[in-house]
Amino acid sequence: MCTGCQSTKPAFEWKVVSGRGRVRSWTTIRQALLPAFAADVPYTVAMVELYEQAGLIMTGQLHDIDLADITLDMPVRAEYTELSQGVKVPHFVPVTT
Amino acid sequence: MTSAGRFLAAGKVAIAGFAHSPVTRVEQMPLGVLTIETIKGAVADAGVTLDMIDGFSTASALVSSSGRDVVDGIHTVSSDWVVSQLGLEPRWVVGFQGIGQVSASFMLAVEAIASGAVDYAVVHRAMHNPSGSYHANPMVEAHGSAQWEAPQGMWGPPTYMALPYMEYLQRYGARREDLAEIVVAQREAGAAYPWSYWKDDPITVDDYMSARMIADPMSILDCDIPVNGVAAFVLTTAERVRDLPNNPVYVRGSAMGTRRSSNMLADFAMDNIIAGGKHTASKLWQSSGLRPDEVDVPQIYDGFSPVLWFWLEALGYAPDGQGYQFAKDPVATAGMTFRTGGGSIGTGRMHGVPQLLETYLQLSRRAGERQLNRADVGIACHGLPHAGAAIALTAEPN
Repeated sequence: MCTGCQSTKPAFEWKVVSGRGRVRSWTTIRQALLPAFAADVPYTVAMVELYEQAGLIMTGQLHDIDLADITLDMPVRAEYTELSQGVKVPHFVPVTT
Repeated sequence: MTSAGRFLAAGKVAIAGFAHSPVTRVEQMPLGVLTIETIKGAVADAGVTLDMIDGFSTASALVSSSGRDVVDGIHTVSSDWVVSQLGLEPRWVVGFQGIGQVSASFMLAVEAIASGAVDYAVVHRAMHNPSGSYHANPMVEAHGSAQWEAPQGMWGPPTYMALPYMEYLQRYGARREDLAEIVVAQREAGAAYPWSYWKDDPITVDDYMSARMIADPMSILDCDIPVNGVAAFVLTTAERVRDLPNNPVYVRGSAMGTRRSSNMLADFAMDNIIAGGKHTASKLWQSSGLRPDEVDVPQIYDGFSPVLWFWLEALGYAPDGQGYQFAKDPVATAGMTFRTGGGSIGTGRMHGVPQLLETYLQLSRRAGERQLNRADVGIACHGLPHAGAAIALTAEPN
């Protein structure tokens, strides 16, 4: 189902995206509601809108930046964290150029 | 000739009475038993008898994100469970699934009465406080939409709510100190509300600013405190309510929000909350034929404190980005939760109950020392503006 055009037979296909986008918002988590992350607090998670499409929002931890330097709409790009063998999740880092 | 979107049964259904249990952190008796006692109290308050109740409605969900097992009658109390225990044979028993539970399940009963399917309905809400952290979830695998967020360490409503709160502060230059004033006012109002966990227990701005942080900028004091408690309302027709003891309060209209996204994270983008909230608001004003400035008692929802700002802007009380300033005006906000009632932050996690109950009490002139001089029109909102529900109530049927 496509929530954009309401087609029940959408021609979805996988596409490679740039992994680049802007920070819509972020939060620094100080109490992990997922106990698996309890040892990692505090950590910062960003809501990122990818440049490919307005409203295309994904989430990932924000690494390699001081909290005071995070700003709304700042450009970021995705990298990957290997949580365990074969399991990778995206995180974001600031685009400095 | 009626206007498009107008509620055709406006003024035809009324609240006849209510009851509210004590609210506690640790349950004093099984939640189902507390619910039955509270329903009996509401029926007595309304001046009717249990055998006259032929409709039951609730939204029973346990809103914890912890993934716990749920037993009806213990952790939740459905209307089906109530009816099964009371041995009644009502004509109509329903439950609401969705967000905006209190307002929406109330409207299910209103519609049943307006249609003639039911003569007297009970709407209840039973809230359970599970042991341990309310939203903590020990999952080791994530399914559905959680698979896009949990592996990154993102989980739970207070964490989601941090995103639009942060975006609001950053975009509009509001500060946590601005919300601190409102939370302090909520607790002050809640300290005077009879069914408040925070009875006679106000806080200061310093308490807010130094509170334990959950997910910046959300602190523990931005979350309503989970409680055990039950509230129940009795509804009937405008004709029948005339013979009953309390001043009736009439249902003028309602609105439901509709989530546009199947993605939990996108639901918490500030723009989506406000844009969707404006749809909810326009339906509310169309349904009721009211304008924001005609509402004496606008009891907007505040289960997470920043939601107050979002509701203010969605409903049209303040332009985008100015809700935080508007909230400081004690005259313009005299009927709001942070001036009277205390809402959820000021009283505890009874969901939309304090908003609905304070609206009812004010309009029926039963608010005691909190009674406002002008209290003829009210709205009771529950949930997020874009994914919640609201009811308009009036002291007169027309």
